[in-house]
Amino acid sequence: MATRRLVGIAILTVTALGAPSMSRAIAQERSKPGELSRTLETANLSPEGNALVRAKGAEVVRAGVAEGDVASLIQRGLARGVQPAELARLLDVLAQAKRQDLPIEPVLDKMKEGIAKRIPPARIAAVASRLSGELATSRDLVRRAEREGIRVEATGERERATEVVADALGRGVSVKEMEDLSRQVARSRQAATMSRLEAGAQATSDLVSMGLSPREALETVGAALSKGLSRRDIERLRERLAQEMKRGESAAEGASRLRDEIRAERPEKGGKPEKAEKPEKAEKPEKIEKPEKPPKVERPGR
Amino acid sequence: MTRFEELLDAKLAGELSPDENREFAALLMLDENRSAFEAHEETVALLEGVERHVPSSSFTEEVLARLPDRRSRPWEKACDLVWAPRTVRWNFATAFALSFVLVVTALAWKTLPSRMAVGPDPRPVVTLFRFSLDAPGAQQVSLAGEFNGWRTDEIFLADVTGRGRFSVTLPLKPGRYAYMFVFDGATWMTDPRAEAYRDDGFGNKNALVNIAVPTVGHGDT
Repeated sequence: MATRRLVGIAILTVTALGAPSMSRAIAQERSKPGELSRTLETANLSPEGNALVRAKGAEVVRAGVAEGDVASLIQRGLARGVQPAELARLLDVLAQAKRQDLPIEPVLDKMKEGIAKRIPPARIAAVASRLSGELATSRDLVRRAEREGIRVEATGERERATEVVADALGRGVSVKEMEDLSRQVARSRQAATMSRLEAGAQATSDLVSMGLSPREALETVGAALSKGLSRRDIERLRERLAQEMKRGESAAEGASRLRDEIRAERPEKGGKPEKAEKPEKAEKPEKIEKPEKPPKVERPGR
Repeated sequence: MTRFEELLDAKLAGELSPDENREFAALLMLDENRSAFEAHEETVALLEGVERHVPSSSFTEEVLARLPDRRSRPWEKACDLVWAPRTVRWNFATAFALSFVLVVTALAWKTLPSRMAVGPDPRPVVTLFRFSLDAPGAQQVSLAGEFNGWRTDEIFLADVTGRGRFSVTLPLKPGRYAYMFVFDGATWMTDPRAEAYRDDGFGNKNALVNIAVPTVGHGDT
């Protein structure tokens, strides 16, 4: 008798607590009006176009992308005059990236950028696909780095490192060069952390964006890693190179001088773990004085 | 045990030999022995009249469960808790209730948002950064970048001096952001005074701003 009463109470409690969630789940399963549906209802599309975009949108949501992100992308695309078939292609690229378990934010951001700049959708899809490829390669690199002993110490480090390494690959740093960087970080034992690899890859990208070749950028970052410089000092390589270049030197000359300075610095013993470092004072970012030029009006490539 | 008690046990078991029977009969002459024997006889008669019940299959476990726990060390109790065999009773109502709970839990779990915060944001601090551009003749200058999803109709620079020097200050979390200026909602322009640049893949050059981790700072383009 007591058992029956307890069972009855348990059923009532679970029903009361779970009914809202269950009804929401059922609603989602049956594609009742959500953000995606509301977006398409207000869009001025033909029935065929509406059905195509709805189907593709639902496919992307099923792949795991948030419905709000999908709806937002569709809304922006339609507002900029992107045709349903072209939008479907973009959604395909997004779904594929998600199915490969890649970080989806950079791909989504690149699509939003392309739409905002009124780039032809086919080109947006091509660039986003290439970015997905770089992210996939980067993810494999990061996984290999972990197998080689690079530790993940905080939530999100692996994903951030994947994005940063992908960015470096997109700037022309080769896979082999990035593997060399990874091995160098792994060799530092106590300092063999994912955040350090992220800092190294980011510094490499920064130096390339300042005009260095990928090889030169990696040599400079490698010098800093060999010396056992902290993550913070690695992040500051960009500022140090900018200071060298302010003296009138080219990026290559500045980098060469910077490497000499690093090698002449007192070594950090055994690559101190990041946590052991003392906090450093905040510095104001450098004000880069450039000569005033009349603004150059540029149109996005079409 | 006395000789009479031995013989009595054997008598009740039906195992007395003829000589032992005669010895038992002789001992019955004593009053105390006879009283004891009569008490036994009454007990036997009483028990024969009682209905017999067949114990349940879990009788042994139930009896053991009611026995007082012997004093044991905490780790022994923990081991027993985990490893002691138990009899589970179930019926269809219980099974249905459990299945219902599992189904509701699974569906409720599925409705959780796909982007749940996995942990606290390790870098929650923002830095105020001012973007500025000299654009005499421009009617409207906006800023679009990774910090606002590339929306061109959200962040507008103000020409406070009226001489074509537009600027806006944004609170930005630590990180690296690509951006461009947009003239009159249509023409995209790269910030000529950015600290770094990156090709956008579409043939343009995005400016980059790097916001470092320090708590509070001010910066200018």
